[in-house]
Amino acid sequence: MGIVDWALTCDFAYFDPTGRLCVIGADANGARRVTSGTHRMTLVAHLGAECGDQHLDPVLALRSPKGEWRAHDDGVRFTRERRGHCLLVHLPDVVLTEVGTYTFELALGTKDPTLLELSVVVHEARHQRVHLHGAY
Amino acid sequence: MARIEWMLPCELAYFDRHARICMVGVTTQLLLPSLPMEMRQLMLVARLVDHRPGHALDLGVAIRTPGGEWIGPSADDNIHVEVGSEYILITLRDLPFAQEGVYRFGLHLAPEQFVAVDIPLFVMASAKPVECH
Repeated sequence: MGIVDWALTCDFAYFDPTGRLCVIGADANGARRVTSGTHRMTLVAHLGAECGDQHLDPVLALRSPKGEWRAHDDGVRFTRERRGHCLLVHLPDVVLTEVGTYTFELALGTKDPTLLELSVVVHEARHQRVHLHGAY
Repeated sequence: MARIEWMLPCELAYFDRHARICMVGVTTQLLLPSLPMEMRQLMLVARLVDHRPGHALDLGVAIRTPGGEWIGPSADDNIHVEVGSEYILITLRDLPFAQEGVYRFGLHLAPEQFVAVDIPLFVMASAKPVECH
């Protein structure tokens, strides 16, 4: 992984007021499973010591199960935050509708780019039939 | 064979109802108002890979003080280990900190594998109380 020690996907991650990383709902590398639809998630990359203050200039692309590529210009919106050795890439509304494995590719660094791959497995949404009984 | 990919110290870590890990306050340094002091709780999260479910893990935890002394939990209640499918959560309670410097938190997985994380400890000057009208 080069300048990245490790990376994961999670529901949300943030830096608290003292700059400490907080990660909510993290999956192991490559094992995130979601139902088809629009999702919010955050990618967390922990940078290695050799990264230093290197300008990372992240570029994110998304490959669908059918092999089609989407980038920032094609609707993969993201914002990024970096503090110390942690880089957060927030995806507020990523559309994952095809069943199968989507792969995020995050390129970091300008001098010697590091390519990071994180996968999300999409499965059919199972609709639950709910009967509500009640009286007002 | 099971191995530790990475380890992080944090204030709190837990598994949510989907068995996914949540970590609050990942710590890179400790700022304490004075010394000596016992820290109520610190947790270590270790990412476990190539672990076969059902196989026993041989774990050991130790802390090296800036003076080079290795210390462990002083009572059984001061350490709690929880192993999820891919993560090990270690809760350390009432940690005795007596001096400034770098503390090393080490985790042994079987005799041949040792992972450690270094955390510098600083004493910060206590803040002046703010006058309120």
